Parts: sequence; structure tokens; C-alpha cells
Amino acid sequence: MSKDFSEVERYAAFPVFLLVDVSLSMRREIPVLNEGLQKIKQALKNAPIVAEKARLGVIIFADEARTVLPLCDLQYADMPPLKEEGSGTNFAKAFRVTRHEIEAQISSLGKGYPFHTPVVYFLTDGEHNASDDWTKPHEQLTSREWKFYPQIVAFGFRDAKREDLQSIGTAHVLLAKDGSPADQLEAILNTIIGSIKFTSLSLHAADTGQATEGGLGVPIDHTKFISLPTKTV
Amino acid sequence: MKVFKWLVHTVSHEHMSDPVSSVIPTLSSGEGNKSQPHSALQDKSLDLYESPTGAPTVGQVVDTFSSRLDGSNAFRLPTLCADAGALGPFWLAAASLTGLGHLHMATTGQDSYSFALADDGQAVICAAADGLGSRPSSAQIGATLLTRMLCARLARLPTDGVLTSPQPSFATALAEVNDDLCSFRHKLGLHLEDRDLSSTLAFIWIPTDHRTRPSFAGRIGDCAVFTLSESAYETIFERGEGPLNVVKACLPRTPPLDELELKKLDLSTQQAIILATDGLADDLFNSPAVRAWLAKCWSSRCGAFRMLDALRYRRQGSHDDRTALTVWLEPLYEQQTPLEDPGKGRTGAKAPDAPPSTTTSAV
Repeated sequence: MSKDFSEVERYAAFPVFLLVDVSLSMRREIPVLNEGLQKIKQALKNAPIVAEKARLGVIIFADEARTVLPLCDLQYADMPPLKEEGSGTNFAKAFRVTRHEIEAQISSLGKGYPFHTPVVYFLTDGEHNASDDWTKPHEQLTSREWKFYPQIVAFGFRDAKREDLQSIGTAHVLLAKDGSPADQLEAILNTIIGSIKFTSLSLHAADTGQATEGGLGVPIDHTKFISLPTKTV
Repeated sequence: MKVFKWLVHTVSHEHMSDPVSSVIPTLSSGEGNKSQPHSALQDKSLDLYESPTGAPTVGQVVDTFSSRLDGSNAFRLPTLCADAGALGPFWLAAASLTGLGHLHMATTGQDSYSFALADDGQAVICAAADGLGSRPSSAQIGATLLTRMLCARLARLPTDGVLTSPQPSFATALAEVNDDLCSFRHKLGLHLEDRDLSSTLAFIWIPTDHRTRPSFAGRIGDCAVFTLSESAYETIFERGEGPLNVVKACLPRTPPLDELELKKLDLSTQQAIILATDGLADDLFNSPAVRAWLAKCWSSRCGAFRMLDALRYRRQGSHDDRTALTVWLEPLYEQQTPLEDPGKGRTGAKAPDAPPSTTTSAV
């Protein structure tokens, strides 16, 4: 038999990455963020259908970017507590690290391991304020020439810039509206939960009018979000 | 044998808004494997039974999928479909199952298959198609039409003509089917666009004297073709890299159809050839357990029920539609010259030269 046939069981993975701003401005919302991450873990545990495929990783960014939770089955891993990590906000480093981590972690599953198009849920409350240009790393992250290119859902609240979010998101761009920053963040995290659940079931199948190529869907509460069109940089 | 029970969950009264839609059956694997009820639901065993199966369970699975029919889509496909019988000198069996994901989301399955005997009685044609998930209400129309139109077109081709010029024969037939589909779309009057019918497709063309003449397999997209011989599988088309849910090509599309992959086959030593849509193909590629199970099922010619049951395995993460069309290559009878087949003429043309010694080759 040819090498196309695996000699061990390989279960298709749906890689999901949370790319989260933990700069100084997020300080007051860090407890909400941590509570929300625990809710994500619990929601995925309580939706075993999702757990059959979804694998979650968490990358944080401020002045620097790093992985705090490698891609894993959340049923067997603990969500790490986050804390504010620096005064700056550097999208360039966020995208560079994300690109590296996506390839490294999916590749670590093994050569030829089946995986669905990765999804990155990007979350920020502000704007890029470092000197490096972030558009090039973003372009490299989202290049269709790269076999691991992800779909990016961009969420923003508080001081996040619309134009930036529209250039960052490749599938959906959602700007939270109304309520306190804590309420907005909670709404974002609940939307992420809904999207992971929906997409896990629809990777081959469904489309309620929102799903793009590959079946990514985001259930949008229009009372809580402004949905913006994506823009190519 | 294990008996499967259907547990009907009922919504507690404070959550109930529609008595009909609140009753959502879920599939439980019976003893020792109870489903986990939703927090708003209560178990109520109404004892809806399903026929048992010997198909295996592979990996960590859960049995909390709902099973809901798409009542809003007049063009939905049946949840199950199967065939088995003699087609020319071969035995053919086929089955198609709607995936758990579709049933859970109350959307229609999107796979379809068809088969035909050539008008001159000298070739068997089979096709399988998979509608794109991004068009959940209509792509199955495309898959259904594509398979049937392609089988009909290929059946009209003289077998000797195909063997003389295979590439132009198949390419032209596909281009015509592509046009047929676009034309038919207009006549349906459903305000559909071409992309609403998008499907991937694979087909096989086997001459009745396949031991002395080459066969052919073709595809557009990621449907797969396998051969099986003494429990060993070979894939006819190279397995692509990259994410599973990225479709590289589909029909209908604007010609020329550059994405057609066509392979010439020597099936003289093979036990069976199998068409599979990608849901099943992924499991064949990635699961030794599924391969072993299906090889066992397909070690002998199957009837329709057996073929359906073969696809009832449960595997972690495998929620897509599954379709398999298997042709057992040991002829049911030895061919005579001229072929005694009522209604099918034989041209009396000479057999072409012997096929090449390699199993597959690009055309």
C-alpha cells in the first residue's frame, strides 16, 4: 500500500487559535478575559461533538507575542491564566508568531496529518503602536500560497480602529458596540464559542448564509456588533 | 447483536415554544453508552429502534448528534440510498449515507452516484459527485444531475472510439455535461447560479473485457478512486496536501476544463475498484480500522443492505456524507463473441492492442 494510507489512526483536526491583545489597556478586562477563556473550555467540554475535531491554541501579544497554550484538546488541558504583558501593541509580532505557530503546531501532528483550514480569532481593544509595519507579516500569514493559511475573524472593542480590523479580518470583522468594555469583551468571547461550535459541525456541510469557503461560520448578534466588510491591504 | 435505541429528548415546558420542533431525536448506541442530555432537555425513552450493525466504532466518539430532517428543502436527498446488482458482466454495489453533521444541522446530504452500461454493451460507466458545502440547499441538485448526465453522455460513446482517443473523448463529454448543467439550470427556473450547483466529481469507465483492454478513471476535485486486491488498497489519484476543506476544482465552471485528471488503468489483476466521495476517502486514507472493515465487507460481492451497513461505522470526527460505489472485477460470466445482450449491439470491431504493463498511467 502506498504512503498515502496511514498505518495509524489519524483523526482530522480543526485548529483554532485565539490571538489575544494583553497590552496595558486590557488591564481592567483581564479578569473578564480569563473568565471567558474558562467558559470557552467548559463550552467545548460540554459540546463533545466539537471536541471530536476542534483543537485550541492561545497566542498573546503586547510588545511581544508568544504562545501560552499550544494547540491541544481542551478536554485534557488547562486554560492558562492571562495577565497584562506590556505597554505596547505590536500587530507585526502577533502575526509573525501566529504564522510560525500555526505551521509548527500543525506540522507537529505528523506528516500528512489531516486538518481543516485553521481559524484565528483576533481580539484587540486598540491599535498597532510599534514602529514595524504589520501589513507584511499579515500578508505572509494570509497568503494563499502557504498551505496552512488561516481564516481570520477580527474582533475589536474600545479603541480598536475599524480600518485596521477590516484589513486584518479575512472572513468576518466585528466591532463591538454599546455596553461597557467588559460587556463587549464578554460578547466577543460568547461569539467565539458559538463560532467554534458552528464551524466544527459545518466543515463539510452547512451554511446558513454566513459560512465562507471551508465552512467557517460566525453567529452574529447585530445588537452587540457592527459587522464590517473586509478590505485587502 | 447490539440494538440501537433512539432516545427522544423533550424540552421542558418552560423552554418549549413549538411542540413539534422541540422533539429532537438523538441516536444512542444503547447499553453502556448513554447520551448526555442537554441541560434544557430531559430523557424520555420512547423506544424508537434502529436496526443493529456490525460496523465498528473507531476513536473517541459521542452519541449526542441530533437527527433532524430538512423539511424546508423540496430538493433534499434521501438520508440513505443503495443499489446492488449485475451491470454488464460485473457485480456493482453502491451506497450513500447523509453525514451526521448534516443530520445534526437539519440540512440535506449532498452526495450522489449513478452508473450506466454503454449503448454498445461494451463498457460500464460509474460516477460519484459531492456537492459543495458552501451551497447547502442546492449543490446536491448539481451532484445529482452531474452524475446522471455524465453517465448518459459516456454511455453514448462507442467503446472502440473511447479506446482510440480517450483524452478527447472524456474531455469532450465532460465539457458537454458542463454545458448541459448550465443549460438545465436556466430551465429549472429556480433562480440558481452556476455556483449554486457546484460539485466535485469522479468517474470510472471499464470495458467489459477489462482484462485485455484498459480502463479509465477521471475526476474534477477531490472525490477518490481506489482499487482493492486482497485487502490492499491503492489510490488512483494522488492525495492532495493542505487543508481538507479547500476545494480545488468543481463543476460547473467556465471551460476549458483544465482541472480534469484522467488516468489509464490496468485492472486485470484487481479484485475491485471503488469510487468514493471525500468523506469516505478521508477515512480510508487515515484509518487502518476502517480500511480493514471495508476490505472485509467488500471481500465478496455485496447486496444493497450489506453495502449500506458497511458505511455505518462510527469514527471520531467523521461527520461528512459517505458514498461508495464498488465494482467487483471478476466477471459474472465469460463473454462470448458476439456478445449475447438483448438490446445492445456489438460492432464487431477488433479488440485494440494489449494494455501497458503498469497499473496506472496518466493519459
